[in-house]
Amino acid sequence: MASSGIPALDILLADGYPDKSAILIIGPPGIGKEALGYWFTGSGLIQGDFCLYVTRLSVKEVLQDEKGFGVDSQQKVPMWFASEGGQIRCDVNDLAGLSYNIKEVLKQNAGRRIRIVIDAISSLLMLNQPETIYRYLTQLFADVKGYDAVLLATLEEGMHKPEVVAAMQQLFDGVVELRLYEEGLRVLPLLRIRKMRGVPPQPGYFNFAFTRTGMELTSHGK
Amino acid sequence: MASSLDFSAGVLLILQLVVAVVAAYTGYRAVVIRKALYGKLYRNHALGVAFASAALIWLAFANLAPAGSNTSSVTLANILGPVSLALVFIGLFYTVDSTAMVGRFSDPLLRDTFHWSRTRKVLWAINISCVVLTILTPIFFLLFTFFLPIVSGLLLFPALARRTGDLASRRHLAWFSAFYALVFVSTFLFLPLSTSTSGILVTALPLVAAAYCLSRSTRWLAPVNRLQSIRPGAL
Repeated sequence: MASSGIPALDILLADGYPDKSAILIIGPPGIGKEALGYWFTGSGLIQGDFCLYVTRLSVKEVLQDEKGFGVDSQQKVPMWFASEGGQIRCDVNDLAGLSYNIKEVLKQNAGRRIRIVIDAISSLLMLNQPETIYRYLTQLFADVKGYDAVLLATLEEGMHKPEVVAAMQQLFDGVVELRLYEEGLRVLPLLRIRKMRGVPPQPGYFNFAFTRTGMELTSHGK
Repeated sequence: MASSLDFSAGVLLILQLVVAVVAAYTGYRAVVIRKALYGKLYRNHALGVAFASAALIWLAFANLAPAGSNTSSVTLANILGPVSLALVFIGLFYTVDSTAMVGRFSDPLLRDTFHWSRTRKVLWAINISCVVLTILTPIFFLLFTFFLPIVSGLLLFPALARRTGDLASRRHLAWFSAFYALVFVSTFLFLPLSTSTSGILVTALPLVAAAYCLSRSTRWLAPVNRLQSIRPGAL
């Protein structure tokens, strides 16, 4: 299992994300999906795993955002595929190039445990036909699972048609939802493990809050 | 004549209350959504929408009062003066700025519309300077302070809406553009029509429509699901 970097979430996931899996984090913009990627990468770097962060943003922008969540990865940094400041430039218009570069990185780190975070799926879906992205991700997951790797991707809720989101959920081994729910006059951010390979279905919802040391989870309704 | 004035004043008060109630709920909703979000940019944007709601209430009560009357609204406007109006438009510019920052992230190609990351610094400097200068020479700078956020919003939002690939964001921006356009129309009409109560009534109507547009835009601020659907029995 690959630790999520968040102890409370690891308990919920029975020790972390499954080996050789692709996990989708889904939620509206600004709810903190990327933070799960930051903690996942941070935990991997501490354990000596090879970590790759694929983003359409610049490295500077991601590091600023990380700091906002209390993650400081100045000491140990992942490999970056980013629009600016990374080892390899991430161009969301170049699917083939992106796939090739990820495969090359996987080959170069074949003997190691690998963690990949992709924060560009929504952009890929907006710029391409959904069917193209389904095929692309299916092939990418097959390549990633050929190694000791766990891939975590984020998807924006509300940006895509419901059928596209449903199809995306089918492609992944695990889906973690971070969503806003209305309760009376309040709006609550809640987390749910929608599905996770090897973990029995969990109907519960959890209130969550980001703290300087990670994420606090409490069962909703208790 | 007096009863006609009373009737107009009554209608105006109803319109003001409609604007206030809708805008207050919209502002509250924006603050509640802000509280539930963790991304700094998105929190700022929700705060911007709350500022826009507050600005709308201010415009409805402080700007619109029956002509020749000595109501509490007039007194409020007199007490608060041009400085507070300038601050209202600073709030509206903050809304434009935060929307532009969020709008960039909803563009799959991350385009910097109108080079906003650089333009905003210049516009903020001008805006702050105008507020300071408004204290000294109210009329000229007050007009400038008004036009800067409204015009920049009117130019920027449609461009952002075209570029965004986000369905929710596009709807939000479309309603927000309409809100800014109606505030512009209302305030623009206010200048020639403010001498008569019926003229002020005409001015109030776009503000009612603006309140509706603002509430619709907040509906698309973030996707909010209904809690009933996640009760254990519903799973």
